[in-house]
Amino acid sequence: MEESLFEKIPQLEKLLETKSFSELSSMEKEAVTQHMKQDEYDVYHEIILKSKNRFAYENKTITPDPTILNRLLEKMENKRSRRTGVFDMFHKLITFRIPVYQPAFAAAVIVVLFFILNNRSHETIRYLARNDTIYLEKQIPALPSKMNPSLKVVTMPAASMGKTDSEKPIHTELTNEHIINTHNDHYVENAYQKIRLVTLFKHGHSALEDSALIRLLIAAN
Amino acid sequence: MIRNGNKEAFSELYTRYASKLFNFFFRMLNKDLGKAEDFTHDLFLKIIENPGRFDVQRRFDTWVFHIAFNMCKNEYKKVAVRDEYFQRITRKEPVSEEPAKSHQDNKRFMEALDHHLMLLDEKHKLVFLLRYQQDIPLREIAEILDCPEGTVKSRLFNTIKKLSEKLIIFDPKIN
Repeated sequence: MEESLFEKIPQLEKLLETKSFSELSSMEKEAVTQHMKQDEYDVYHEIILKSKNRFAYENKTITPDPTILNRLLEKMENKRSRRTGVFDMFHKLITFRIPVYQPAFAAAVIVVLFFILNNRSHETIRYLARNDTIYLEKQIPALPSKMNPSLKVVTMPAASMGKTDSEKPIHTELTNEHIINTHNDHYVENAYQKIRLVTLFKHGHSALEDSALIRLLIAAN
Repeated sequence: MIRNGNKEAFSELYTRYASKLFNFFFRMLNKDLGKAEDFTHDLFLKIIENPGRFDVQRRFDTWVFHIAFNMCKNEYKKVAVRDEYFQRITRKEPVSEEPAKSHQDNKRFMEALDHHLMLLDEKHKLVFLLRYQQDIPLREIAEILDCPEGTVKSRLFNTIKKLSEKLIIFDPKIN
């Protein structure tokens, strides 16, 4: 935008408003005539002067309707009676003003914190390998027949006690099953644990194939 | 005090500014008295409804004229105010622009001045009125319009120049 004369001659606006060309000092005249003619200056001065007079006359003669003030005061009164107690507090709360930079700063801090925390979690936790299944082995005291369906408990009659192995009645269907001779529940539990240990050592071989093991079991019961 | 609903404070404020604002609206809205009254009423109603919007760091007149300026701007957007004026003046006798010959022609000069002021675009008219009707310094006008002081100076000078081109035919010196 081209620089206006009001910018080139800072005092020009004031001079136009207050003095005609003939009232200017010699220095002021010199400054003005460098940019405009005397007639031009006088026309500008007259326009400003006459406009100001015109506006001043209007300000005196054209006035707003005096009832406006009464209407406004009435509205003011209504508003004051409307605002009481909780409403006033609520109104103050929702119309509470804070500078824009405050919420903007808070939002910026939240964003920065989010990125910092997000990046940190990626850097610190590095997995070499991952287990997708975790096995938890728990031993629950129970009857062997309920714990292991392949385990069959044979109750031997008291009459057979003291007889040799060959004389003792063994269930004919036993093929690959453990035999436990139970007289009392607590013996059974004890025997089951031993069988389990032996089963682990045997790696799948039938305990029945191991005569020494059978003897051990019978002796334990 | 107005925030607390002090009627006396409000009345004092109204007495100080109502006439100024009314005349400002009167000129900005093409000398429509009814509209000027409505706008004056609405502006003071805004002050009653939202006194908390007044920034105590600012001068009251700067703030109040900033609101007035925004109201006019919205009105200019809503209806083509100048078109309305053009329609109105076409129904009236056109302003004579024959050269002035005597002191009696002062009236004609003033009519022509009014006429050409009305024809100014919103921005130039606004600056001219704030400076010479409201007597507000250029620095404060820049605050009201939210623009640099240089822009205000430039607009004001251009306005005076435009008016002088239109009115030089009357040769105001002879009046």
